[in-house]
Amino acid sequence: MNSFHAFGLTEKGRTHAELVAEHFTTAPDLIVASPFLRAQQTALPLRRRFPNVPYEEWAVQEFVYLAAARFQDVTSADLTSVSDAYWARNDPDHIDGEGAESFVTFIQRVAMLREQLVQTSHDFVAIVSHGLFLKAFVWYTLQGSPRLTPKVMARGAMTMRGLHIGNGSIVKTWLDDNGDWYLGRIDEASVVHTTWGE
Amino acid sequence: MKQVWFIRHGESEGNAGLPHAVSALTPLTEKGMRQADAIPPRIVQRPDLIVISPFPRAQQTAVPTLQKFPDVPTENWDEVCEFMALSDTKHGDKVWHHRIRAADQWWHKCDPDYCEEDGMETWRALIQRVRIARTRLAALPHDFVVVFTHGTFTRTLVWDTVQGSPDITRVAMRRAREFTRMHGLQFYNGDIIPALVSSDGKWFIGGVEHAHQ
Repeated sequence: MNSFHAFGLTEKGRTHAELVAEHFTTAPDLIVASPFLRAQQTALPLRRRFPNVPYEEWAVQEFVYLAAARFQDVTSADLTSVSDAYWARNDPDHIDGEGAESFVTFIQRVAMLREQLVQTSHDFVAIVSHGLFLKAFVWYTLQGSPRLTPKVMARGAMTMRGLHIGNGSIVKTWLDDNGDWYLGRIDEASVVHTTWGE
Repeated sequence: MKQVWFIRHGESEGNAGLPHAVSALTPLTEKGMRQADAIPPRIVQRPDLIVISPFPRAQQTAVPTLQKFPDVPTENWDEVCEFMALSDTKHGDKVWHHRIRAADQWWHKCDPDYCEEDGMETWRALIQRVRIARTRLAALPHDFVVVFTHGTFTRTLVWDTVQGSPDITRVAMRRAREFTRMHGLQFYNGDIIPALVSSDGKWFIGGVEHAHQ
């Protein structure tokens, strides 16, 4: 793992983490975090608030589509152009280089998370993950688990760009008795909502 | 949990790329009729209410389902009609690629209050209509409601629900455009999006069920 993925939280990020923990009105049965430091740090206040709830690390880390070497000695403008080039290729199987994964592998992790959640005996699981991963989860679920072709990837990228999941946001999902997934509202922990309807 | 199913109408002459003088009035094609016929077998449980957009393509799509459930009450709701941003005076009878370009230019302005012509909808008006429709649907006493509606309307409802009714800004509009455009969320003619509404009015959106699996 290179330094880019080892980034910790800022002061503001730690505030988000506290707000996320406060957002819970009932204790989850399981707390899960990605192996990336920023997710583990975000999970800390939640684990402190519910010290008796078991904690596990699952492969819900961020989509890393650029090779580790890309992150060395570059400006954010350079990264934007290589990032745009990656998405413009629109190749689900493309691997940028060492340290990167393909879109197919990424979506397999999203599918694997859903499978793990179907299998678990817990009723309420809290998962601390990342922006692209959660956007992909939302898209994959709304789209009814599509098979990945270049066309489907292009539409997935478009749909994901249309979603905003800010730091400290919570994506609430519901798995019904038939095994069908439903998506609720994405809540920002730093914003207090009074009603769901509007 | 109350169930609400959003069904996109079958292929219209507009979807097939044929010119149409009044876009609200474009009828179903033969293929669209067949897609409408394929809907009732997918509705196993009897709905308590069928809500239909007043546009002919939605009305025609509902016909086979109404024949299967002749005693289910139906209501026409203006709130669930398609987004009407482009003026027929300017774009009526124009070929498909002209309309696509006109739509691209319309969205490119990215102005929630841009109105192309008197009587046409702004993006703000669409979002407000989506929220009114959702509130009205949530308030119904029924357990299972089926809604015959449209592509952009339903995608916008899904986006607005999942995003938690965000403020109507240029940034929100730019995002909604990506999500709701034809090349965003795949929601084809005859597809169904199932949703659940909890007793306290929370919405949950399910995965798109394609007409041809």
